[in-house]
Amino acid sequence: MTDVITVMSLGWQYASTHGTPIQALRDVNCYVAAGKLAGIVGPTGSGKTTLGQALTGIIPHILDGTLTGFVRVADMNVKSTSVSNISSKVGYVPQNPVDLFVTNEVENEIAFPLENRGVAPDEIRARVDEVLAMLHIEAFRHRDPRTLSEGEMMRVAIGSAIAAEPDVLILDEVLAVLDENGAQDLYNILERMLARGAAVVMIDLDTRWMREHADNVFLMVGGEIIRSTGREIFTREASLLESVGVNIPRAERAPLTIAQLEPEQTADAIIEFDHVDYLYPRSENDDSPQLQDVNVRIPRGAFVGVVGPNGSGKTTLLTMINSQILPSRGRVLVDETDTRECGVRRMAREVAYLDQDPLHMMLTRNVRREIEFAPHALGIPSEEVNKRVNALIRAFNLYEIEDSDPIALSAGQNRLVALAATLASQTPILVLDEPVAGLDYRLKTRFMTMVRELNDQGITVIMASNDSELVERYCTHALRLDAGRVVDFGPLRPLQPTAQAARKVR
Amino acid sequence: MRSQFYIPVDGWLARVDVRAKLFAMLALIVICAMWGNWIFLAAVLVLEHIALLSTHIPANKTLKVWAFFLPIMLIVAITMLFTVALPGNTVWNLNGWQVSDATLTMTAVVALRIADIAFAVFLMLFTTSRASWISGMAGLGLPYNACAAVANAIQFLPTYAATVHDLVLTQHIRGRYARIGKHNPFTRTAAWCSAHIRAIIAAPAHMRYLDRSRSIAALAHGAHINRGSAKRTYLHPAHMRLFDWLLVLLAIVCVALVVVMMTVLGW
Repeated sequence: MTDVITVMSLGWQYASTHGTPIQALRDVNCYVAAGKLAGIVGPTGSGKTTLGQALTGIIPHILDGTLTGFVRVADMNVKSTSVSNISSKVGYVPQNPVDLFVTNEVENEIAFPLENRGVAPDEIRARVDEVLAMLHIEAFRHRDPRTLSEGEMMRVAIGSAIAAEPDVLILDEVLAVLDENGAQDLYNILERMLARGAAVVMIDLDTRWMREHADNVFLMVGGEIIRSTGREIFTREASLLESVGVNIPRAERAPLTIAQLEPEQTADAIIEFDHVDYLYPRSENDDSPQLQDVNVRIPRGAFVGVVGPNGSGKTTLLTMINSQILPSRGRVLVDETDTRECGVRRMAREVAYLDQDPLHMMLTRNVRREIEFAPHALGIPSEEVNKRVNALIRAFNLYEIEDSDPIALSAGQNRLVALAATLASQTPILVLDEPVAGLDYRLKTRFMTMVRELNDQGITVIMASNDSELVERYCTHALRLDAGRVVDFGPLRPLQPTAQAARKVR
Repeated sequence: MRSQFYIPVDGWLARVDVRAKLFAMLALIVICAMWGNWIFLAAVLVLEHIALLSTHIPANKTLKVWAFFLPIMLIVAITMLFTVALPGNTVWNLNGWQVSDATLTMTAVVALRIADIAFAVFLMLFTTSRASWISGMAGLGLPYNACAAVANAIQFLPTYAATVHDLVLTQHIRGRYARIGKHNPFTRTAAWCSAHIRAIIAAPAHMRYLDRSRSIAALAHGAHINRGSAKRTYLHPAHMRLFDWLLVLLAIVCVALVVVMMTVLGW
């Protein structure tokens, strides 16, 4: 069978404005045949995304740097073919689609590649209908994709990439933000694509599907492919994969078991949602409420995992805690203060918030200053700030990028900087929206351990996550949302009286 | 592009072909600029508000336009009352400062003209999506890249405002002004100004970064694909219906009537 992807001796060095250029890829060789699924796995910062970009032509045509070696995709030499012409046969779903939508309406976003190819309008309409149905996003047809939840945005990005039925599909960390239904829709699409002879390259840290379906697996470390095998790598070399940060789930994820919350457990509530409804402004969204009658009391010192399908209202709930949005009905009390009376500005003393898109939280052009920003702003003495910042730089191994501009970093590094910057403030409440999506297992564990240590010191943590395993492992409570309603809220395991007492320290 | 003038409501004006709407808007601007009859200008303003209401534009959006243009109208009107002295019957006489009925009429005409032109433009902006702008201009023969550039330029102000808003919000979330109490209006105002000035300065760099990300995405979806001799197509190509032709005809008739009234009847 002929290879649709041929990569030989590929090297890529990013041009750097801060002295030494960064060697992102070294002597990469890989081959993928038509109708095959190739998985690219490896730790955060190992060059997976860079390799994906080299297959789309973004490298070397758009990003600055030096390319060596040879890349051929769908009979096109990447070096001598423009990105747009490569896209005639290659579909690409980037890691973070929020800033990458070209249009203001979901149906236009999916139609865009077809319009560029000159497909007849009737055919475009039929294909858009088909794609919307495949991804179960018909209801968002006329919505601005930027107003959707991250998982829904990812579905739109997938729809746009598959609309023109490419010969090669490259998916970069898409599973991290998709819920179970979204992932299943994607698997169905991939099965159909593979059956019609398209090649799929899946760059992901979630190896569940790859483990059963991948024909080729490439393990990348430090910009090199150190293993090029089949899916047997997940059984034969599991310890190697885990040692570099690739998690191999042992069994199917069991649903979370959420116990009944006793009234006395919420007697000392730090956050209270009192019959809260939230309706998006009409101009931005449809008329259905995003949150409906949310009535929850979060105990002081709890570590709450907010779970639920994409678009169930997790982010909306989180943004209410620090007054970013106010309830349409009902009230939210944070330490007995109504969020209506205390705006975002003053709420920053109580709540540190991490957005699901870390780049949107960056305010400086230097990693160290970014981490120092909040504690300095909150008036913490310089000595203490330095102590905290140094500890975080050490914990996340940010020495090499300490003086870099956050905008110039990779998505994974950006997330680490944002995590460190959020942890540095040590406010009584920590709100984290999908904090570890796209991070490798080692970094995920390191971050979550730090959050749990802060929680043990009495800091209340509210974390939205699609990863029920993570919630089960680290959280004390879980809150399950579905279509804007609280379905379940309670402890994940019985709290020991001593632990409860410790959590009340602050 | 996260923010735009367009209001996604299902109104009759949103369904009108962009070319017809653009022609009608330009015709309206021309006749408002040409004919200085305050009764006509006032009638146009009323008609524009009826159009806004009937096409389901929320009242708060109309009020926002007034909030922006009313101060401009007042400044212009007051300046004219003090600086323009036309002969005519004196309406006010205050310590030597005289305002004649002709000056008052001219002031009203200029103020109404500003409002008429502003609302004509906003009728267009509120009811035309980015996709409609692009397909409409493509219908006039412009290539896609030019259409997209014009559509982006039209949305520059709301995008800039949204970026500034996001940057101010991020500063607040990250605690930049958290220590400022809520009871001192001076420190609060200073914090507000400081946050906005910082955001206004930082916004262009953020917008450049977003523009670059989007242009990469557009290329990766084939924005400059080689189609050979085939033309780019559109999901909803611009299409002139009978109603759109009637609107164009009505605009032509209105311009002709105004010209006749001005030249033949001397109004």
